Amino acid sequence: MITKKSTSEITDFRKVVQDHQERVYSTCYRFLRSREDAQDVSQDVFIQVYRSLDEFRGESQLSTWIYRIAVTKSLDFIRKQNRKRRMGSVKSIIGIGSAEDEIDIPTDSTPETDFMIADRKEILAAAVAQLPESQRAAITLSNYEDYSNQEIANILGTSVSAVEGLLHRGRKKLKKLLTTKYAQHLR
Amino acid sequence: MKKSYNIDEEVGKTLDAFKQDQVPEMEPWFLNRLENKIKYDLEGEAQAPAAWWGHVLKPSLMAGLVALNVIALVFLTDVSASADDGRESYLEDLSSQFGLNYTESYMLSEGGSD
Repeated sequence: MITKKSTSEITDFRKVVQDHQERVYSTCYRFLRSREDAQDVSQDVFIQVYRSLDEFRGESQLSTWIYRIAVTKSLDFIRKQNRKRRMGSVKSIIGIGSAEDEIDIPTDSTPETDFMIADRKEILAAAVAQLPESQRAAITLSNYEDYSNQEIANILGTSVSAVEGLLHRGRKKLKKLLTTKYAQHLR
Repeated sequence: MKKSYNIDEEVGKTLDAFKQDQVPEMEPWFLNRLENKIKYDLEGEAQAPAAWWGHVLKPSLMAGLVALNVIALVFLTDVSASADDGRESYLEDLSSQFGLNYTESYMLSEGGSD
């Protein structure tokens, strides 16, 4: 439940939002790849921050705590979307509605045409989306958002060595996914 | 002429796209929208008891009252019917005891109650 805050608490909260909104939005966007969804999820992140600001015990940095909420909310959103997509697939099998298409290598990219940078970004994002959740989170925070391994460990609530493992396995898998995709497409 | 592709090179170039990926700008009224949303949530939660009363409790209570009225009506009709039955048998007793007809018994019972 949201409790009414004093004027100074509201001023503090406004400052917190102003300080972190860009990075929260950017982090959410990296996971969701939609401006609207990233903004909606960012709003939910700050509502959660507003609700729980009293409970924040200062055991971690405020920023780490906020980015952890951002990652959790983004992954929750993706899980919900995936559930919806699966339902869509079931519906399309039984003849109701149509399943959403997965992002794939653009059909107009042939060996005769160079891959555009935009295409590459989409191909990469689609491959990242196929990684297991923890690897995906680590790769997204590290490669897109340039968080340090220590920061990622704090955000994901794990150790630095575990993050290194996640990044290593994630990059390896990403390379394999891309190689397979290109091998199929450029054959 | 067909261009040949080196898959490793393509994968490498694609992995470099991490650095080229830009985030679209966020809406400038993000904070205002957030503050309105929080205000709305606060008001929504403050009004929750009223909504609870209006949408759930009040109709339930009304339905309960109507049900009680119906039960009471059925009960009273039944009691009144029993009372009528009792009076009928009393008048029949009077008729047979004193050899009176129904009207005479009725008048006697009325007079007796005065």
